[in-house]
Amino acid sequence: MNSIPVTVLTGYLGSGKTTLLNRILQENHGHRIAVIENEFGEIGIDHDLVIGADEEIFEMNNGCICCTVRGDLIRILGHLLKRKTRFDRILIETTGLADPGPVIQTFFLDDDLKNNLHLDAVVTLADAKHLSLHLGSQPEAAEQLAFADVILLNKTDLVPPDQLPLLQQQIRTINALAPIHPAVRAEIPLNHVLDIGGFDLNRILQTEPDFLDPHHLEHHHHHHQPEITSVGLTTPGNLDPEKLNHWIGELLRTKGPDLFRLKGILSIAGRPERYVLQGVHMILDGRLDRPWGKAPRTNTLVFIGKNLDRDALQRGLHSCLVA
Amino acid sequence: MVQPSEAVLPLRRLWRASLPDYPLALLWTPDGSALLALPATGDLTLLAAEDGRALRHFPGHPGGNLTAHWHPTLPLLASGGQDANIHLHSLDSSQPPATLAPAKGWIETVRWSPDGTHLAAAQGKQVHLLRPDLTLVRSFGPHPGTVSDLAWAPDSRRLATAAYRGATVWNLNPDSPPQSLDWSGSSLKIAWSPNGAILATGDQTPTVHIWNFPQNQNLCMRGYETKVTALAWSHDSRFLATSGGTAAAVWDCSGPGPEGSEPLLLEAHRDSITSLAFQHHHLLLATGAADGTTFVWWPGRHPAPLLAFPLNSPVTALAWHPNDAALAIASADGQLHLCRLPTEAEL
Repeated sequence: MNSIPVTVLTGYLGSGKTTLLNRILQENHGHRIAVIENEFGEIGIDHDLVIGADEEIFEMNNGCICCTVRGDLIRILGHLLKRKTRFDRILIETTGLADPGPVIQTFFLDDDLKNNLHLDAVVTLADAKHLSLHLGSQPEAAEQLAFADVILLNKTDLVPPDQLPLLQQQIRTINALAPIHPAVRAEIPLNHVLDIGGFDLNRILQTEPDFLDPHHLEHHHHHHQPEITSVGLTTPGNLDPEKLNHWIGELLRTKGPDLFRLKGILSIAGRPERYVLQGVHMILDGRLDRPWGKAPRTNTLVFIGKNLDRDALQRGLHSCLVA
Repeated sequence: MVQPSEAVLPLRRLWRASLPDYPLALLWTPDGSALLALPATGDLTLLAAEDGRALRHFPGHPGGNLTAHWHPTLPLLASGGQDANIHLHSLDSSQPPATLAPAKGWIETVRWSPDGTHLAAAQGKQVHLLRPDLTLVRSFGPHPGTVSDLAWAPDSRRLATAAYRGATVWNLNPDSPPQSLDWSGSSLKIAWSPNGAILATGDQTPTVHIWNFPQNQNLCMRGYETKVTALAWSHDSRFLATSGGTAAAVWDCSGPGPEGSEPLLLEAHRDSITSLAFQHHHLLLATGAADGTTFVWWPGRHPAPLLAFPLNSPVTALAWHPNDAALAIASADGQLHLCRLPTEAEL
């Protein structure tokens, strides 16, 4: 049985999630789509199914934020998988205040969902007019951007054009990895938000071979350094796999709750292949990818999270280099 | 992994039937004359025990069915679904079912008390206590999370609920406070030993929790591969069979209990176990798995399965006939099989 792709739509209140949802549903794609909503918006349904959900977060292990999952999604998706009618795609629209972390972790931590579904991408909408206000006052707004694989900067018609680069810069500081698509009324080609493969390392590298391009990863200097930032590290050389394991393991153990997303391409001593990895909080997925070939062997790691200490991360990565 | 030996005999099929959707549960009428199949969507079907012909259809729940349970003595079937309704279907009447929607939200589980005086229905964080005419006695809750399962104590005076933060034991006597069996995790299934001494939960974290009331002891059993979604007690309260991987772990709860002991591991399936059923009066255990296989075991007596029944689709439900001589097996493709144990001559 093929694994069904799941897209998570997040965004602060009024950012246009329902508009995007309707655009996806109305596009003539011939797919059967199941929509799970925490807030009922006005959704046009035809062949599709809309299920309401009450957000219910629980910790699988006592007190560990990295083991929090969404009980409502486990139940609803569990039943959806049992129906004879199969769906080609599942869309989850979260509330404006939802923390995307537990939603994402649900797909990695629940046995049934892990085996039958795969998280394609977290798509975050931002309201161009109110983004600065939200970022200044609502921690959820920054977290939703931090977890995103794709960001839709919506309602750009409501701000003067010269403000757009500034807004993009503001988003980039939080999330240096996700493509940012400016849009009006959530108008965007659907291949920019669906089938992204945001959690599929091989896909990321095929479709965006330079997604970890260091020029995205400049160190931004601001007077008001936001709490949530991206830190990108690059260093040539080869890494000792044991030291790397130890460093990353310790980092996730101690800083897991503050690490939202992590992506990297690493050069492991003695391996002709590139080592790619991605993580969400304490969940880490790494594997050997295609050989380096003639490309220069280098290590690139991007962290998105809270209270990241660039210098400590840099030292950590360097400590893993083969002497 | 232990391979099923050549000595494994096939279960003999008596009949098969098709359901319109994924079978969630199989429930024999208490007299054994008919089998109710609860599909994920659509009408509930009552099949004749002798040949599997459809005797009757009961209206299902719009949005999807979730649960059903026969009254222990009266010809009444309670069901619940995603439409927030409890239905009470009467076998003696062709009238539409009596209906009650106590509140908003899925009716996840309905269970009659063993003495038939009450029906308990889980809806979100509440559990409603109803009389057989669906009048509400009162509601237990709110629980800290959605109630995932219910189990009546054999005395019909206490009701155990499973939810986030473990289990709660509610007393029908409103003057007795509920007992919280909090372990800060999430429980999915709950089962009371037939003698009422032990309460067991199957959990989202791959664990099983056991509360032994006479010994005032609680245990956490670890070592499971996946979440534990099926539990089954032997009728003598000695064995607790648990899913949570390709092997069924069977805990011996007799004597000093399972503390510090190793479970019997029944290994023959190649994919996760989905269903477990002990016979009502004997000690054979049926296990069904996502690989489509069903095995019948004699825990504690024989390490390998005695009987097997292979299908091409994941097993979703198992139910022994009240006379223990036949086993109903349902699979995800909507097929339903009634199989019998071999006769002595066939052994």
